Amino acid sequence: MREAVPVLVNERTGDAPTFEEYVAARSQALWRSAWLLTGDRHKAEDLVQTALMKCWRRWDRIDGGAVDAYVRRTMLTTYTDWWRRRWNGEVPTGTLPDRPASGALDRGHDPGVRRDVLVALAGLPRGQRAVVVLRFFDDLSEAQTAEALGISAGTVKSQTSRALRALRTSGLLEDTHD
Amino acid sequence: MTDETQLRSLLRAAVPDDASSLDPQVVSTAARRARHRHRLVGLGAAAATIAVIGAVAVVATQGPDDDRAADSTGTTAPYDAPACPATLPELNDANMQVDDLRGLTSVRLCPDPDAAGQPGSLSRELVRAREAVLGGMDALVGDFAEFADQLENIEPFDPGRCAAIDFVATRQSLQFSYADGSTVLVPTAPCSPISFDDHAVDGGFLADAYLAALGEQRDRLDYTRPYEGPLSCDQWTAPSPATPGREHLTSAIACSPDSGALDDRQVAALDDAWQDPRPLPASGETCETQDPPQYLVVATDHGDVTRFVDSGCGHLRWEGRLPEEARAIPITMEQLGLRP
Repeated sequence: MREAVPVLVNERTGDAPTFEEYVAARSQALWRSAWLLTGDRHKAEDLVQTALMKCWRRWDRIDGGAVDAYVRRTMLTTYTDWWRRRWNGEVPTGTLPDRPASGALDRGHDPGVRRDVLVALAGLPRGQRAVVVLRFFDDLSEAQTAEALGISAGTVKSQTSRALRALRTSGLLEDTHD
Repeated sequence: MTDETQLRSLLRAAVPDDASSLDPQVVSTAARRARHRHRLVGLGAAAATIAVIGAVAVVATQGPDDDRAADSTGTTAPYDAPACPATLPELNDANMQVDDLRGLTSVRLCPDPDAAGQPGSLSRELVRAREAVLGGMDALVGDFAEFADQLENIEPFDPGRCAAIDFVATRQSLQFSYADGSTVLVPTAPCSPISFDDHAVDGGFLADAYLAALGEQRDRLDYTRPYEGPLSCDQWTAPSPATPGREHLTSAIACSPDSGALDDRQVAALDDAWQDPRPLPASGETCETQDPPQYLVVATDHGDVTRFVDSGCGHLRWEGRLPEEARAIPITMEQLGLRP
């Protein structure tokens, strides 16, 4: 369950949030996105904490109206950086549960959904996985996703299209295009 | 139900309800400790550093909250750090170990000067340009926290991965200079295991870590030294952290089919565009390129030299060091008055 996006402006002073206010308000939401990116509780915590620590150093220089975008971008840059250096590599796909049967996923609160989603996301290239999380979990627009990832809106569109196709093929999404 | 609706529903259903919540005080304390650990213990001797370089703002005596403030003190220290040796060791003869990071005063990238060809094979102008590039490179000085972060983030050396790939041997090295005047040189060639304290990292990642930290230093410290050498269309360029929107462009020449220096007005227009980089358009776009392609060789206020290629897509293309760094620079040769 996602919580409502907290107010990110200090209500008393009207200023941008302090670092501590921001972490208190947003760390759970960031963790959920990080969990979908990494597929692991502890790596998600590491990712959020690493990103926040990087932001802490520059907090006074971040535009108050753009704090959330800045932190999110830092988290995604860190995620990409980890991947590029193959330092915090994800669990190899060979050790993940079997792929779901095509078009046959049980929906609702089936505990298997979590596993199926993780298996399907693990099969996506990192860029597509990030686009999926930003577009369909964080509900960012194509333009906002492009800004967060430092890519063009056209690339977001094509990555989204490829990701949806791959998720249909994996069996996570029921094919509604017949 | 559309794909997008299904996916939204599935993602929400999958995410654990018991999301971890970080304690703000724990995060900020960890950030302070990491910064101070890197400054005072890991790569320490900040005071010695300051005594040597003289001009960098004092960081070791700042309170924790001061850590966040940008340093507005102008300094020449990054350019005054000890120079690279004239000859770099062959990979087989290179030292592969950095025993101690205490007492460090600077870290400098030393590109392989012969990578652009032996001096005897180059024109006098190209030799001068190469020397100007090498002599104008900035170094890490004073505060090594970011570099320490970057080092910690490098994955352990994996000989198995290196057994499966070919790489180009290079003598490019990283030079560590210490307060006692000593220096240690290690190669940054891919698949070279470089030992730091208790762990070994791949030399190929070492240069990336250094350049990332140097970029952070450029954000943090106030310093510039414009490139002053000649610019040539055959110019050799050194690895640098230059990135659109940070450095300013100070000179440029146009190349192919004709070459010629850009005037101040053209350089100013080019710099305006460099300050406003855009993501590259989606691949597959059809563009009208010149044959041979036109390009610009440009210099920055930090001593870097880099290239922009005419994309034919209504912008210039800057490649960066890594594919994900490539950006569109929103100006054309026509707008610069370089093509009728």
